[in-house]
Amino acid sequence: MSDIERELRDSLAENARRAPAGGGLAERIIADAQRGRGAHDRPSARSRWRAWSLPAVAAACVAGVVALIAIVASLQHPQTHSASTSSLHTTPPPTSAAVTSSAPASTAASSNPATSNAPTSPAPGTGRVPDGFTVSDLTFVGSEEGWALGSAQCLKNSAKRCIALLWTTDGGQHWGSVKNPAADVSIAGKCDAPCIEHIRFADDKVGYAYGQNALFMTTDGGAHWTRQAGGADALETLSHNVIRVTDTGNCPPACSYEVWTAPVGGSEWQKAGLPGSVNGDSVLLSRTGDAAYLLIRQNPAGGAGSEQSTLLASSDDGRSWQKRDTTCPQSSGEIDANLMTTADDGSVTLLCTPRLGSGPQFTVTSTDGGSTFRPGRRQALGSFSAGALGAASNSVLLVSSDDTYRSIDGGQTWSRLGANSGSDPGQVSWIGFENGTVGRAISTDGRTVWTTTDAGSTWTGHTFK
Amino acid sequence: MDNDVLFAQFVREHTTQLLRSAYLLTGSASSAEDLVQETLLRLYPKWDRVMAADVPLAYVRRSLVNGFLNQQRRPASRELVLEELPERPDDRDLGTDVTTRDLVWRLLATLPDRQRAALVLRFFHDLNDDEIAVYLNCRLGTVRSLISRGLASLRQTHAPAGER
Repeated sequence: MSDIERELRDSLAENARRAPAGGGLAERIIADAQRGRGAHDRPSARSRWRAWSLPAVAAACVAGVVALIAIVASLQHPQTHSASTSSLHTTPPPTSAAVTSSAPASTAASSNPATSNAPTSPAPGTGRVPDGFTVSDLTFVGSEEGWALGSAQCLKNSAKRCIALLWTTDGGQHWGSVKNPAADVSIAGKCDAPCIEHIRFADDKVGYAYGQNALFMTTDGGAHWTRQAGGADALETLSHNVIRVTDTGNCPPACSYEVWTAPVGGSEWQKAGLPGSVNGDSVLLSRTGDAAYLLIRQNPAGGAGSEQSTLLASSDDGRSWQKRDTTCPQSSGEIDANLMTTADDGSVTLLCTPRLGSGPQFTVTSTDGGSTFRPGRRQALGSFSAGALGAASNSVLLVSSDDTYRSIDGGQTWSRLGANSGSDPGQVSWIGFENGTVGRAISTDGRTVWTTTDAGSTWTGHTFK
Repeated sequence: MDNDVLFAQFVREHTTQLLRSAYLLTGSASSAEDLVQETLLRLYPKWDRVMAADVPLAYVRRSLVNGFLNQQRRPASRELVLEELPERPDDRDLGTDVTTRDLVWRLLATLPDRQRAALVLRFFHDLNDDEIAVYLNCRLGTVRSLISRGLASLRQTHAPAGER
């Protein structure tokens, strides 16, 4: 074997390893094919050729006959020559038009440089971000490595949407597509079983993707996803263990919840001790250090009064739970805790909202494991109910309704972020902090992931194209 | 087992391998994904024919190579889609950090499509002349010529200026 052959062989082997890993491509191909976008509705190269070549051949034959007649006529009647030639030139050139229309948009697009703040280069070993990606949920392990679960066009130019999972190793500046669980993701409230809505990673290897009726786990960084029995209404990993909340069926509206714990990556779940039956319509789970909090919401859309949310607290990584007293101070009319978040300093904050929206919203924060709560000032945080709550600490809080509002004094005073800086994330659907300074938010349209490194004072956005 | 199940099994099992082949042919991650998508979706309606082949993966890979060559024949596709521009080492400034393998990879991208495909099939997939002839739908002599001319081009542009 010559040197050049050896070098070529080595180069091909090396570059093959740089090929995209496929990410969610396989699942998108399967979904698109089975939804009827196989070759039967996209003509093959040969049939495309036929589509324009047969008319072209026919036109050429006609033109040839006309030309022959014109030549014969010109020989017989030289004065008619120019008119005949003119008629030939009015024949449309079928080949040029047909070829232009068959230009593959995909190739042209892929060779263009990025024109927006979409990823310019994916993380190593990942595929490109599928078109039209929107984020449903985020999870980060540390400030650099994270995953975004969402949906995207099944294939380029496809109207159908499929599950997609992205990965970043540089704090969200660049994203690449990685393998997703073989499941559907909730899109506009529609989702076929098995359906997942959330993603959580405990570390760079072990992760969970879950929905009410499905739970998948990976122990190799997402290379393989294995379906576990049952589903999860909520799930959080911290301190080498996982807390999982399930319901006993017929839920909602009458959900009876159970709490389970397992070691990270383990499949044997231990049932946690709860203070009696825990019933509600929906549940939120949040963790910080050894502490965990469970907020059971009841009739969040209104209905009968005196059905306040219930707060349970655990100080042993979710193995046992205690009920806390009503955390939102009541006044005229019922006030419910609708959102909950924890901060790196061990505090827990809830957003209290008057039932039926009859009054200003406010936060309450606890720094003693949920035993006592300090209320913030009642203030109109935007023109409608808040959809996201985040806390960098017990004093730095963020709430998003029609815009994002920030407090640096535990909810006593609030400032609208847009008024303070030119990097306002605006209305967001989710806010979360990884530590006291680094946080993320997801825009309400799911297309932009916002990142802050100064506890929510300023933000930079990454918009998927 | 119905075709949908077989198709899904195959796609999950072999997409990574097909992407490697497509990446070596196209030189671009995004074009490779497009090529694999188009190939599998084109074959999906006649999947029973794929599964009836002696080696289904070889059948699909052959279709992928054909898809690549057909795509490249279209005028609008006659642009290189390398993620990095191929630089011919005319100045022979090998003091840069471009390794020999990178150089070969870049030179490979400058070859005509059929030469490139023939070299990938021979030196990555280890196919013999007969097999490559089936893949490229050409005669044995043509395969030998494609490989010979491809290697000659690489050798010529790769060799130091004084040796050309």
